[in-house]
Amino acid sequence: MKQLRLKGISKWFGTFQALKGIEITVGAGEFVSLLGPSGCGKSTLLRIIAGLESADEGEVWLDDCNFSCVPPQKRKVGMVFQNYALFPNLTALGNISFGLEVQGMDHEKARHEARCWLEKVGLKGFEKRYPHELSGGQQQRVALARALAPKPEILLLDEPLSALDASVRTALRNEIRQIQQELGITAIYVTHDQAEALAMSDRIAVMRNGEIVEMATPQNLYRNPASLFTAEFIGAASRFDGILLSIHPAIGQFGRFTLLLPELAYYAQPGMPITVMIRAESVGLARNTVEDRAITVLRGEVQMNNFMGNIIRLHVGLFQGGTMLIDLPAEDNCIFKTGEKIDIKVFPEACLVYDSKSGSSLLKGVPQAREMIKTAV
Amino acid sequence: MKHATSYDNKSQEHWFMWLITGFFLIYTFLPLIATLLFSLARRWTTTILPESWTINAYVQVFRDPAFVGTMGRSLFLSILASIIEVGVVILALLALNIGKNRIGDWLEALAIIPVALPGVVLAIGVVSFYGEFLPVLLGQPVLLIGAEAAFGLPFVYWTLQNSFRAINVKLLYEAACTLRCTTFQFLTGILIPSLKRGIAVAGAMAFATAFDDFALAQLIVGAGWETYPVLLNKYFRIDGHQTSAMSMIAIIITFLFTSVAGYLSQPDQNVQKEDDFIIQKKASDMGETVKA
Amino acid sequence: MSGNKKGWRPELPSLLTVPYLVICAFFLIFPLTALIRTSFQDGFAGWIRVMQNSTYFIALKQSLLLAAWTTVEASIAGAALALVWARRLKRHGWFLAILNFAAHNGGISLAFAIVATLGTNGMLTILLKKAGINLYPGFQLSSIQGLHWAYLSFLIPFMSMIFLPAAGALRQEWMEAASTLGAGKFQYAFRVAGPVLLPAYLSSTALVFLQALGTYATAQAISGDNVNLITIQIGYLIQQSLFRHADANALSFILLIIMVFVVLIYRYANRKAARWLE
Repeated sequence: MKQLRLKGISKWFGTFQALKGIEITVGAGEFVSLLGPSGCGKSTLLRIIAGLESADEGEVWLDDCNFSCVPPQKRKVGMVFQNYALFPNLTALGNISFGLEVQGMDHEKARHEARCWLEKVGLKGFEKRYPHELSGGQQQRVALARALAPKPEILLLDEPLSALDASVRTALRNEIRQIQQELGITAIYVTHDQAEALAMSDRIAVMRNGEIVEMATPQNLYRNPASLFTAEFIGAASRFDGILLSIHPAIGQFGRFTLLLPELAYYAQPGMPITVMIRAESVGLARNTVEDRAITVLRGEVQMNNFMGNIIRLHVGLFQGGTMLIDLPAEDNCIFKTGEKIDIKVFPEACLVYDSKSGSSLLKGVPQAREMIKTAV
Repeated sequence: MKHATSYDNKSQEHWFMWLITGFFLIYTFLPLIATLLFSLARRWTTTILPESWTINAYVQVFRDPAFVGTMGRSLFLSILASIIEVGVVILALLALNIGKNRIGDWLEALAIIPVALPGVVLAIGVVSFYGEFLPVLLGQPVLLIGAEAAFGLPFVYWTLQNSFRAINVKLLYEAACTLRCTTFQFLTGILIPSLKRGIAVAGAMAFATAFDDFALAQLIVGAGWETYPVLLNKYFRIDGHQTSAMSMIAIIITFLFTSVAGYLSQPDQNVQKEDDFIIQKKASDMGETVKA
Repeated sequence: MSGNKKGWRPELPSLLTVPYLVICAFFLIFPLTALIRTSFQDGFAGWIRVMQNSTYFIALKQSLLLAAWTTVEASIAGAALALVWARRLKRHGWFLAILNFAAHNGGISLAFAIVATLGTNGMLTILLKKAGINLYPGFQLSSIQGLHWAYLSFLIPFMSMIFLPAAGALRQEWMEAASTLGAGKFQYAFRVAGPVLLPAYLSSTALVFLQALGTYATAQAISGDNVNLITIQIGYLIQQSLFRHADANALSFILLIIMVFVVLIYRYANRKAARWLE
């Protein structure tokens, strides 16, 4: 259980800067996900922590120990790879005990310990199987056990589930989280799958173009994303660009319609360009009921109708311009035909308001992206 | 109707295949049969098969002290050359796979030289170079061993490169690194066992190439350190009977190594079962989900 | 902070290539440079002497002729063999074993085997005589024509060996896709399979040509220095007359230039082939 600190990590590949001064602190025993689209540098960052790449600038600290120049062999990290990376010449048991044996542990003792680990990941009886005789999910379990067996101080997972089938993915992600909590090991998890990151993490660091956009708990990140990028990346939302008309009350103008907005921060100025993101599940249908507070009602025509099992997602073309996504519970009275006209109600607090230029949140009480990271440090 | 035509096509294809294969097999084995019969014949002039039989030729060969000496030298030379080649190429490919500098193109360009280079040209190059700078070594076996090792590089390089590709060495090396494993431990504990098949193929090919080589042996060391093919060449026009037995022995050794290498280099036999296998895997994955 | 940029990593991999580079340097590069240098030792005099010598000129011409002739035949037969077997190898490893053996069974022992088959008292000669076909005296084993048969016995399987991966990469789906689009067998062969395989065919053919041009042992043993080929000339010059090493060097250099040229063709074709077949 150690605390990991990254200080100003930068990395260039030729003239391309893959990482731009990354600063993070991961608390002891914390599970942190690095979430971002492919090419954002999240895997590179993980490899730098593991020591498989060296940073051009910056330092990696584990507690009070500077790891920057320490080769991966001496870092005491455990790593799980996307493509399992099991040694093809060793059995499941051999793979797990390998890491113990190279450190000079007695053969029998290593075998015994490896057997315990195999049991822990639910693969009792698979000792003698070779990697090519195991399914993807089983291989990744072995890889997890192999990484954990030598008792690393930090566990690194590089998209460990992305090569697996959807059903196996869910099962395995819970298992990973469970084992991590059991051991209380510090873990860093790289993924591009938001559902995975939201479900597993203590905190999530959202990355874009080699920078950390924001870092927060899954709840905060989803409910009040501090940056426009996060709001677009996580969850399904409709986006509207416009300008801020007034602050008290907060009203924005978006083409041919206006929206009532929630209370804004002190630095919002009337006339500034703003972007509003509205989550699909936070809008509803305006039926004839009378609301007792100020809401915006918009009218549109159903363009597309995706039945997704538990919900129905409507793509509604607004008559005033733009498209709105709406998630409705999959009940019979919510099924609409394409072309049907409907009314939509938008509560002010459903609107996530951002400064179009900087992409930072204008809502009162949501800290700026930069501040967010600093408080964590 | 449709069925009939497709069947027709198939049998036509078979007919062509067996024609061309039969031709190839006769072409390959008829000379060997002729050599074998020749080596076992006591009298053979105008008949199709020998008129009477004997194994005298083989007795004669095994009694010949030159045979034992040259065979010993050839085996020593071929084993040493193949060990050097395989070792050197494994290290170089490991470097290429785990390193970052772009040495790959250079290594590959070097590996292609011997394909294009006739043995005689390499031989004369070696003689010129060492004649000028290290005349002591002229005629020494070390020159021949080195030249054979260099000459056999392409096959070893290509074979092992394919094996390296098949197991994604870079990833395995990184995994080993995070498990606190040294490069040497990785080499002996993971890489070499994982490449068994490739090493066997490459080694066998290197052995056969070095064993069969005549040009380098004759022109670099010649009579000073006679190898088996050089002796064979010497007897070629002196004693046909003994030469036939010696040729047969050389052919059998070549056959053992090259055919085993060829057999092992066939595409993985598991491949045909791949579909079944994926289904099995899927099934067991499903099982997992249900359990969870 | 960036002072520790270069720590432990870059050194080891480079060190591992040292043995390989040493072997290549001492037994390929240095000998070749020595060869090129000595062939220019007395300026162009050696060159002019070699070029004016009709024996050498004929040797070069005959070598190229023999190599071209055998290459054409071997590349067609070898490619056909590879194409009919490419899909069957999974279940017929024995074929690959024999193919590999045949491709690498060269040298003196093969020469003897060919003599025992096609020589004046060879088995096939006698068989054909019994069947009423007299090979001799019209046929000469110790000639370009005779050598050509010996060359083919290893060039055809050699071609097959190196063409097999390309032939195997031809996908069944392409054929099926073509037939669903209404293309017949010949249209598929000419418009899909042919263009896809052509670069690989050319690169394999280039290797076969190199092999044919550089063959020494078989030719030397069968012909007993009677056929005038460039490799035989070089071997003869090195062994027989010390003071004519310069000629051998110059001849080797000519051979080397031809080889480099063919290798360039090979590289070009190979790159094209790799585009589709990997």
